[in-house]
Amino acid sequence: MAYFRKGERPAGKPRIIGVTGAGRAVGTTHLCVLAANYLCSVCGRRTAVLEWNSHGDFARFGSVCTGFSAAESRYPIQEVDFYPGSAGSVLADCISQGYEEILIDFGSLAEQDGQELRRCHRVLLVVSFSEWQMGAPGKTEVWEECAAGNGWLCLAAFGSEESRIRWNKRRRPPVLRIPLSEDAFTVTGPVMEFMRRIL
Amino acid sequence: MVCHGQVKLLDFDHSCTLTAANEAGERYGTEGFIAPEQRNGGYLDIRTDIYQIGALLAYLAAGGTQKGGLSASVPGRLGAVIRRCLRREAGQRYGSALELEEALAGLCFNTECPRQLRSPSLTIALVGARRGAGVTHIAIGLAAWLNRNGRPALYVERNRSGDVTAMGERLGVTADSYGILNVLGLPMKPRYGGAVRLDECDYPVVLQDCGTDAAAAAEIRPSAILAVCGGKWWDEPCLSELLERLGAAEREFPAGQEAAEPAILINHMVPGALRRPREWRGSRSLQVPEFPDPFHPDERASSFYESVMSGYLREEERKRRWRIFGRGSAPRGSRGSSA
Repeated sequence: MAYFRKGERPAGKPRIIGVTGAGRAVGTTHLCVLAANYLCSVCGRRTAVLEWNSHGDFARFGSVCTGFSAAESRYPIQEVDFYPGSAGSVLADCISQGYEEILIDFGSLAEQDGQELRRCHRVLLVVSFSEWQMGAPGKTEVWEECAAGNGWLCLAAFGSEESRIRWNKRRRPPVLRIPLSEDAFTVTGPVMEFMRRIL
Repeated sequence: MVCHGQVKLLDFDHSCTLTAANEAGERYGTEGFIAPEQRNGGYLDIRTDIYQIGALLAYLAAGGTQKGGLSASVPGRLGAVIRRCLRREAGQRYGSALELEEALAGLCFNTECPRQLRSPSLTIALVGARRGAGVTHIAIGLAAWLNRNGRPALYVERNRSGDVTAMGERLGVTADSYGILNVLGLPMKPRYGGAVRLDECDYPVVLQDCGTDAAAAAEIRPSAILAVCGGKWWDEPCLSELLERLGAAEREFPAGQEAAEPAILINHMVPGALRRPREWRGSRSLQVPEFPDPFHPDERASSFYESVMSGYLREEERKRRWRIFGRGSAPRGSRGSSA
């Protein structure tokens, strides 16, 4: 398919994958964590996930899963290292520590100035076809222009499949359907197949 | 046809409708599987197919056709189902495929049955005394030899080398829904991390390449452990240490559940280089021949693998027949007597 473009893999350096959403609550963090677990558990790559937004999700599930406290800078779950509330210096540290894959959860597109996104080797943009959610197609053209202009891969977890198909027939960029995933820390067969295609 | 160890039946050569089957003309069939009414020109219906299913089940269970009268040798409830399928009078057989299916499904609710029919019968762990001992090469060669000799075997990577994933990327092959790659005709499962949840696929033989991790080798409770070491004089301490680690890991298990003494496979042997230390007592040792391509073991490698495996395969066949038929000599370590 024309819109499947494999992310570049710079020799000797980590691949940096940015994940952002057209709005809030579209599944950005879930996809980010799921992709990290795929890259680590299936591909065997040393993987870090950075929370580059102010949502506080990483600290919350870190606390629940590992007893993580604010005094620590990172915690591991299933051999993936999570960095809650991180900034640019954390990224530089991760690069120097020998990670092979670094995923950055940028939160919603509106929260970013776009500069850091453009430095990523690959960007995944999560949208939604649920009409009542912010970022649904038709509500804003910002994400369409960014994605089309920068070659980002657009994906949707929620919303009508009919809407998605209709969108793909009439609009650009095309949006792929993320397979059902109940648990971001579990990689099933369909998820493996999907991730293999997009990563 | 065998796919991931599951038998799939094909060949619908002379299948036809009931009407066409009863039209005048020549009838075809395979000796030993032909129902009496097919032979004597009687009316054919679903019960004719039931007869043939029974004949096939008898062949699978006893290894022979009806001509040899072997259906009588299949004991227990399975034998009763088969014999009802093979009644001379069609009216005394199962009346439909559904009825036969229910009878067969009833066998699987027997608490002794599911393990008999589904669990892998033979798990072998390979572990090396040190890195570079040749565990992966030997394990792949063993898997290839088993598959070529009618024993579907799955190679499972339990070390962190990433070799299987690298092979898949090199060849452009991807994993199936069970996470298994077909590498040059050999089913191989790479090491997956804790996040992966895939359906399990049963294989008659599973080879676990544990690298140098003796604890992992013992933890999977294999039917047998093959310890691989180098044949140079400086490899001796590594092997003694490996055997100690294996022994220490097994001491964690309850009494009576330890695996048999590991067999020692000596790679790149220099004659006279290794003495036989005290820890080797009770273990048999074999010299590994040189063979360049593990995916295509040559004659010397095949002969070597036969020496390694013959005892294990005989024992597993005894266990299989004991579980299914409850007859013959009891396998080592089993309790109870034959039926």
